[in-house]
This record gives sequence, structure tokens and C-alpha cells, in this order.
Amino acid sequence: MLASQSPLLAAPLLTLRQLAPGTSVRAVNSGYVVAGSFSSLDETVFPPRARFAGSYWQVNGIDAIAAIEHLAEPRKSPRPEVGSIGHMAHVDSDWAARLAAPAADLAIVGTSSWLDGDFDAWITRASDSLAPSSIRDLLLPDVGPVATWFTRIYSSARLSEQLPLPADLRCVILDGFGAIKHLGEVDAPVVICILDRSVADDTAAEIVVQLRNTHGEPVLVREDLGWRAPAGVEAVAFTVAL
Amino acid sequence: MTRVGLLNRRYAASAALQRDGVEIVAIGDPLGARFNTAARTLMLTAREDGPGLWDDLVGAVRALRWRLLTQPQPIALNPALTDGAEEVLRRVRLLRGAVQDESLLDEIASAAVGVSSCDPELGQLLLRSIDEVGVSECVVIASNARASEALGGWLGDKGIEVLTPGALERTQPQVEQAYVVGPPRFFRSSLVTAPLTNSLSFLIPAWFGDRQIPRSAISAYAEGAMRIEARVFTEGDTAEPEAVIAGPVIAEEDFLPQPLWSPRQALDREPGSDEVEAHKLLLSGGQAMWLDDGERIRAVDLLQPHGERVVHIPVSSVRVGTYLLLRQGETEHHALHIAALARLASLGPAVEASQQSWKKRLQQRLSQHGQAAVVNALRGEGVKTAERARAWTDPTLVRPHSDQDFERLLAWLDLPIQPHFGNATLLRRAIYQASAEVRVQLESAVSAADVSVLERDGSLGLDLTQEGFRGMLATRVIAISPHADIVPRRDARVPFEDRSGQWLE
Repeated sequence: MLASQSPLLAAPLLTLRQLAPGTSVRAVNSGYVVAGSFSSLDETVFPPRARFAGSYWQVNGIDAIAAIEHLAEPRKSPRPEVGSIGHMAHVDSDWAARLAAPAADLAIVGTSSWLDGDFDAWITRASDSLAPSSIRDLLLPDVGPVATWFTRIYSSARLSEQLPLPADLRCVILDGFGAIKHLGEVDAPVVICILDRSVADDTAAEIVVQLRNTHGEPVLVREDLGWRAPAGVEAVAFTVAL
Repeated sequence: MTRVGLLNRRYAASAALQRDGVEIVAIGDPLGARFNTAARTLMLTAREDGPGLWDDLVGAVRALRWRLLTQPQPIALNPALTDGAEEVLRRVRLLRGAVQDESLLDEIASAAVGVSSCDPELGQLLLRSIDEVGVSECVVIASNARASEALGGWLGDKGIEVLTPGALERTQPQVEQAYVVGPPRFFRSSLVTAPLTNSLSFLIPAWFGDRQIPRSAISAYAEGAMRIEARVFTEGDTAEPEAVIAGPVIAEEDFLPQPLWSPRQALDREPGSDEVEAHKLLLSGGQAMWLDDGERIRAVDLLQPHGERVVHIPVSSVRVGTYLLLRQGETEHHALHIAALARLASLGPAVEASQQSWKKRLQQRLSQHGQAAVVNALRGEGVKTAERARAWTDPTLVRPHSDQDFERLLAWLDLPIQPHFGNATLLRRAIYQASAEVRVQLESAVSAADVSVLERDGSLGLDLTQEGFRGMLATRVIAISPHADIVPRRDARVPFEDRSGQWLE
């Protein structure tokens, strides 16, 4: 998500002029992200006003707006904060555009109640003067009636009933044994398997090692990817032809 | 402690073990050493004489040797040891007159009497070690639920916590030191590669020679691999009988309690249309099952939280220790298939007919050309999972997972893509829906069940309300046959009574 290209959005007024009534839109102002059906634009007043998602909005207060796929019910969420990590990844300058038109190309498969707990954690750079980033705001999971989202979340226990995964995913994180079991059925350009060494069963590791040894081309984590694993973390990387 | 806090503690413990290594304390145990030597002589004799004659005695001796390593409580509190020795003596009596080597039988019998008449040295070492660090500062880890219960019966009164590795993960006691009863190789690598305590000591009798420390499954390929070293300390009388020092080596695997597999059938033919190749699985509670390489199978993951414990896993990831969820009397997939066809209502017959049509043609090709030729041809057409060709003939395995593979398979079978593709996909969706309903019920049944009972006994019956899915059984896999046999399709995945695992657990 943080590595994706910045979306190219026209100025809000230009976008609104092009919209046919009934089109679903997602808009971001200083306090909220709103998604819903567009009805009208009134340029006879100043500043111009647009009506969408059931309310009137001042166009000069809109930081970014984009047409989206049809949405039956309007949705409104507080605007997520970018925080320390967002600044580090340089997504702060176009944050509103990213919220309005997210790449939404990441999926996480794992134990959903644990993931939900993890989203409530905060992350920051050591000795950063900026506020910490909420992991929920960085990932923006597609859980519940949210107005915008970056990341699809799947429960490992229910994954077999939801396969195949959408084809537009660029990265899938398989968190733990229950998710990695489905490695053979996940075709995404980047797949990250998180092997939990504390689980007595080595099956997940064996699945990964077998794929590496039969179809993989090794990649050096430190040289090729430039990542140094912290103490206690083992890392293996390889590519597989899709 | 929060999840982040627990994780930090575990990484700190990992770093400590990577730096300091683990400790192995080997205690001299002359009586056990004598039994070990007798066991070794028996194994060599049995190896020379071939299978049959000695099998029962070998099984009983292996079981007793295992208990010497894993259950060192005093004799008065150690029925496992005394019963195990009794069983050895009984098997010796049955062999009297049947074998030439009476002196070997004598030696085994008196060595078995020896180990069951004195309190084990290993137990004394354990008590001394606990005293050194203090009862509240340590935890004792037993190899399995049975050993944990037995050791707990002895040490529990003294306020010492005894846990299996699984229970250790669940309870995560906040202590500095863990004493592990048994050699490192009897335990999963996670105990040392993802430790919960900063110090870990394995306690073993000195006659047990194999002191390898397990490694993580990816360590051979990983950057930053966890390689834990051992510091070995030896105490007490460790003079070994001379016979051990000379003579051929017996791999430690051969000493472990083993299941009895029936001799392999000649696999010089391919399975017929109503047959499958399947591996035999031995299950807890004296049961067994044939597992074919077909559709995923339901399992219970006890480490997951409530509501996410019931999972569907590929057959290839079933291991010793996996808890399977089986339907008694008939396979779950068969019942799901019927439920899914019912959901499709008026479309059901057409879907069934188109499924039968491509599966029948695939079966014909397999019978005509053989599996190897079919797999090769499909590979040539670009079917990535071609090796599954035979599995796809199974009526309950709806279709290849990959759309592309399925389209190429249909083309190779000279069948139109539609309606076969659409119908199979419709059926798959209906099965997923039926399966999701059953899963919700299974989740609530598993949540209501006492997990510790399942871990202790290895199996547990579950009651469901849904028609066709009553009488589910959660059961632990205790052994998987190394070879496949050909069995009737209807026999696959249905548990049955079997005593081949009597020496296990």
C-alpha cells in the first residue's frame, strides 16, 4: 500500500462537473471520508456546493474526490491520520488522494480476531516527533461499513470458501499456518508468508521450503531486497514463475 | 500481558538461547543402561531374523524404553513403568521355547525387572534441579499429555507446574527456567527455536546418546537462521556396558515406539474407477482411516481462538499431531455433495450430469493410457496441477482449483468448456455454502467442547444438529503409513477400529 503509485486525481470541482447523477463517489475533507451516490453540483453559490452521500458539501473544503464502483448505502468514517510511519513512507503529501482512490491491492489472510487486535496497536519511528501511526489507519482494513479501505482481510478458517482471491491484488500476506496451507492457490505478484516458529507443526514451513526447492529461484534478503532481519527472525526469499 | 508484550518476551528468550545455547544434563543410570543394551541386542537379533517372531517383544521393549526416558517418577507413582516392565516379562514368557536365544530373553527379563524395582535416577536429578532454582521459578515440560499427567501427579503436590509443549504455549507461564524431561529430539523444534523461558535444560539418562538439537524447518535456507548449541553436563555413574561401545549402530528411530503397518500391497496396477490410492492413518482411540489425495479435509487447530478453530486443510498438510474432524459412518464430502445438489434444486440433475460426463471421460483416458501418460499429456497442454489427474475423477472433488487448468483439461478431453465449466463452478459455490453452514455449527460444537480433554484423550465426539452431520469425531493423527495402498473409494475417509497403533501414544 505504502509503495503504490500516487493516484492522479483531477481537482474536485473538475471531477464533480463530469459526474452524472447517481454515480457513486468517495470524497475526503479535513475531518471525514464520505462515500455515496452523487446527486447534484450547485455553482450558483460561492463557494460551490455539491450534494452526495445524502448531504451538501462545500467544494472548496474537499481535498480529493473520485468516482468509485456502485455503493448502495452511503458511508462516512473519520479521516484516518497519516502519522509517523506515513511520513516516513512519504505518503503524507498525497494522503487525501490515496484515501479517495486507494490502490486497495493488499490482502491479509490470518486469524481475524488476532488481526483485529493487532490493528489496534500503534507504530512509530524511534524518537520521532510526529504522532505514532495507528496500524488500522495505515492498513485501513475492509472490515465493517468503512468509507474507504486499503486492505482486504480474510479469515484463514473461512478462506477455502472464498477462493479464488480477486485478481487485482498485488500483495497477499499469509499470516500463519492456517493461511499458508493455501499458498498453492494464491496467485499474486508478491506473497509474504509469516511462519510462526512457536507453532509445533512445521507443515507451513515445509510447504514454503518445498515450493522454494522445486519451483523457486533464491533471492538474497539482505543484498537483493536490502532488508536486515532483526535478531530472532529467520528470512527466506525466492521467486516463482506465475 | 499484551500480545506485543508476549512477543517481545519471546524474542528476548530466543536471543538468549541463540547466545547461550541450551543445557543438556545427562545422569548416570546403570539399570537403565543395562536395559538399553539388552534392547539393542534384541533389535540386532530381530533384524537378523526378519519380521514376525520378535515383533511383539520389540514393541513392548521400545515402549518401556520410551517410558524410561519420559516418565521418571518414583516407582510407587509410576504404573507406566511397572506395567511396561510387566508387559515385557509377559512377552518374554510367550517366546520361551519358541526362540533359540534363551540367554537374550533372560537378560531382557532381568533388565526389565531392574528398571522397575528402583526409583529412576532421572527423577532424582529432576527434583535436585528444581530445588536449585526454586519451585516458583521453573516449569517442567513433559513429552506428551500422558507423561505430563503422570509427572503432574508426582510433582503437583510440591507446587511444581508440569506442562506439555502445547499447554506451555497456551498458558505461557512467566518463569525463567524450563526443565524438559526427555532428549531434545523427542520434542518439536519450536521448543528451542521459539522459547518462552531464557533458560532451557533437557534432562536425560546418560545412556541416551543422541543429543542433537532440533532446528527450525527453514534454518537450512534462511538468513538469520536459528542454530541453538548445546552445553552437555554429565553427572553420576556413567560407566556403560562394553557391548554398547562396540557393535553396529542402530538408528534412534528404530528404538522409538512404532506402529505396525501391514505389508505393502503390490502396486503394480492402477486403481479402478471405484478405487483410490490412499495412505493409512492411525488415529487416537484405537481407530484408523484411509486418506486419499482428494478434496481438502476438515481439521481443528487448537491454537486458534474460539470461532476460528475449524479449518479446511489440503490432504498434503495432514501430519502426525493434526486433529481431524471426521464424520462417523460416511465421509463429510459425500454428505456435503448431497446437500449442495439439494441447494441447486432444479439445476441439480444437469450439474450432476455434466460433472459425470467429464469425469467419466477422464477416467476412460486414465484406464486407456495409464496415469503417467495422462499426466504427461496434460502437462504438455499447460495444466499446472496435472499430477492431480486421478484425484479429479473423484465425484466429490468438484473441479481443479485453477480456472486455467480446468479449461485446458476440458479442451484436452475434447469437451466444450460450457456447460461443464459453469456447472462445476456452480456446484463448487453450493458446496462452499453448505460447508460454511456446517463449519459454523462445528465451531460452536468445538467451542463448547473441553479442549484439554481432546488433548489428553486424543479424540472427542461432537454433537451437531444439522441433518446428515450428526456424530462428528475430532481425533488426533498418531501415525501415517509411509506407503499408499489401493482401497475402495467408499472406504476412504471413514474411521474404523484398528489396533495397529497399540504401541504408540
